[in-house]
Parts: sequence; C-alpha cells; structure tokens
Amino acid sequence: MLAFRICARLDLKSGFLVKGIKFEGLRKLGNVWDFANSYAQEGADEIVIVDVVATLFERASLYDLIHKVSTELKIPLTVIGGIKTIDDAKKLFDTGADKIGINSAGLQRPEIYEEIASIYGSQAVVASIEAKKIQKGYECFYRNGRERSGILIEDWIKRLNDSGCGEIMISSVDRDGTFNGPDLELLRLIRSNTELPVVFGSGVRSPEDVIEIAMGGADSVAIASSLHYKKTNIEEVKSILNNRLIPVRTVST
Amino acid sequence: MFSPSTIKLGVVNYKASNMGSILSVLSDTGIEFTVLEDASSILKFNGPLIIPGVGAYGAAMDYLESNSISNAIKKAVQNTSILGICLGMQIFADVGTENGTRAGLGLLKGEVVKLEKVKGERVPNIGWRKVLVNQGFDLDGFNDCYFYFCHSYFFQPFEPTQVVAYFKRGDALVPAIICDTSRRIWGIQFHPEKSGTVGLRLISQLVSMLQREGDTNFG
Repeated sequence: MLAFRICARLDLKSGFLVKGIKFEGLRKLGNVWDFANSYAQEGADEIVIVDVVATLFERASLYDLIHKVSTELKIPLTVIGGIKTIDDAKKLFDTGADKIGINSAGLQRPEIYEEIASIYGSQAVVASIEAKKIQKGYECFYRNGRERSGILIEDWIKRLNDSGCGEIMISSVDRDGTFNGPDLELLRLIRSNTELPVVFGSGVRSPEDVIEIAMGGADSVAIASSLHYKKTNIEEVKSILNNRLIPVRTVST
Repeated sequence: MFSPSTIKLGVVNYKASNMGSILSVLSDTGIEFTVLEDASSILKFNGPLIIPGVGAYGAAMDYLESNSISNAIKKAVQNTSILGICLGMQIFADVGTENGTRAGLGLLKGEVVKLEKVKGERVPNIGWRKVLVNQGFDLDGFNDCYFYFCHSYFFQPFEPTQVVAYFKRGDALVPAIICDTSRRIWGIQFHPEKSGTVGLRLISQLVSMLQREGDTNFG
C-alpha cells in the first residue's frame, strides 16, 4: 500500500526561507537548509522547494541548496519556480532535483510538460497550480498568485491529464498561510477531474486537517506555515494519521 | 580473508541519471568507486558496475546506443556483476514499451510495461511503499521496510529472472528487486539512494554481494 506522503514545503528567496499569507508579505524565517534538515529528521517523506522569485541572479543559491538537500538528506526533492525551458529543467535535475514543478510556463505553453517528460519521464514532471476562488468557481493564477490566467481549474486539470505531467500540486491562494484550514471544496473539484497523483496544500493548521485532505482523496499533503511556526510537526501528523489507519511511512534504519 | 571493500565499483554515467545522489550514498557507505563516462572506460574497467538512472526509457536507449555504451555494458557483464537502479534496471530488459517498443540490453529476461490502471492506485506510482522480500536472497532484513518509488513503467520478468522483492498494487505483485539465476545481474525498481538510512544499508549490502560475486567468479 502506498503511504500517504507528507511533504515539507519550503519557499526560498535570496537564500532564505520565507513565507507569506495568501502569497503576499513574505517574511524571512531563517536558513532554508536548517529547516529542510530538521523536517527530514522528523520524518518528512519529501522536500518541496519553491523558488518564489526565480531570478537568474539568485539561481546560484538555489543550486547550492538543491545539491546539499539531495546529497545529504537522501529523500526525494521537488523543485518549483522559474522553469521555462528544457534546459532550465535539465540544470535542476543535474543538480539533484528528483522532480520539477511548472506553473506559469505551462499555462503559457502546455507542451512544455510533454517536452520534459519525453526526456525525464512523466514521473519527474509536476504541474504546479495556484487556485483562487472566483464567482464562477476556481481560476488558475500564476506568478505567486498575482496574475490571472483566465483559465478555470477544471478545464486546466482536464488538459493536464494528457499533457505529460505525472503529478499535480495545488496551492490555494485564498488559504495560503492563513491557518484557516484546507479548501476541501477545491480538493473535491480536483479529485473528480483527475486520476493523477495529487499533492494538496494551503491552510493546514493541524493533523486533523491533514486527515481531511487524505480522506478527500489527495495522495500527499504539502505543509509549510504549520511546520515553520510549529503549530504541529511531522512526527505528530504521522502518529495521528496512523491512529486513524491512514498508512504513513515509518522510518527504518 | 577476502575483503569486499578492496574491489572498486564502476558507476556508469550516461547523462540520464542523478549521479550526485548515488555517488553521495556510495561515499557515505565507504564504497570506493570510479565514474565511467564512455564505452572505452567501461571496457577497460575491471570490477562490478552500477547503472543508475532517472528518465524515459527511449531517451536513455538512444544515448546508450549512439555512444556504444550499450555494447560496452553487454560485454563487461560477461566478466563482472552489475546493479541497475530504476531506469538503470529497466534498460536490462529484452524490450521496453515507453514511447514505442524497442529493444533493451537483454541482460534480464523480461519486458518493461506501463503500470495498469487499477482502482485505488495511481499512475505514475510516486511515493513510499512497503517492500516484501522473498527468502533465500540474504535480504530478509529489508522485509516490510518503506522505500521510495517514482515510475510509470515496471519490469515484468519472464523466467528465469528471479523476483527478490515485490510490492502489492491492487491484486498484483510488482517486482521491486530482481536478479538473474547466477545472481550477478541485479535490478532495483525503487530509489534506494532516496530512501533514507534503510536505502543506504541496502546499497551497502548489495554492493558487497556484487563484489563477492565478482570475486568468486573471476577473482
């Protein structure tokens, strides 16, 4: 049986761990490596690094971090942010990323998923989505929740099903960093439109929220603020999921 | 007394792999290794081989064939033991079916096919699964441990390839570790180099088995 996967999500800016609320007002929280390392020791099943600015100038610090996380922590690593070309993806894979996630460039040119999948396999290509509630339902946003794409989530998910991507990772612009609980209506919408693995996040405030996400059909959760601000920790999340008979990875030595 | 650690390991770099991860695991476990970048260095090398790999089967075979690395590996295997990891294992098959049917190295009897759609299971298979180990392969210590998988295709063995370990997917049993009857050719579907401490321990044990096989047969 596949274990429900607990991903620790780390937003990176200028070499520091940052976190905002609804993707805005990024606060500097410390050294990214220290956080990644402690989450791995707590039993994180995957590290997700999001380069929120993704400028060329600051890419060097991202590569250093990817190399360190990949060689020292020895758990899977997904990197998201600023990937526009096969060459961008290649650099990240070569440095040590196991999967790469694309949002903006995919909305502009969905062929990018298939292009990267044909070389690296679809299991290595994640479609990252920033969803925001609008009157008609949910819309895909990009550039950290600032820009509207005009594309409805369910249309985009249906497009992604045959696009070459092997996993879908969803953030909610409305819930991000708010501790208001996950948007389970959004999860239902996603789950009813795809059979791909789904990583769901935003708004998580407790292990009980993670149970709701698992019961809602997600394959994995991405947690940021709740870990950074110590509302909970990975050991506690796993132990409570385990009590509810949701399979989680126990760490063997 | 024979000391496995004295036998150097060759790691084949065919530009379809996360070399950093596998090399750091080998370093951590104190295994001596050389990175082999081309066909001639593989042919000159005298020791067990590791073939890592992440990527698509077709793209990997393109590279291996156009650089004569596939022939070099086939030749080297007549005189040494070899371990393939994930895609590195899948290319050992007779045939692969990712992006069209095409021949593999033919080192292990079997074909690489896409995971079937099964209720309650996803394609790709991404995440941590408990691996069940068959007895008789000296790997009992890894039974019931979680390892990290990330793949859409898997190795479907024909006899006489042996399934050393497997995982349950719906009603099916999917091979997780396989080997040939001589136990010189090994393949792992999951990523031990991404499976934390237990993955390190597995690599370390498999490498000493490879080194022992190499020694018994050719030392």
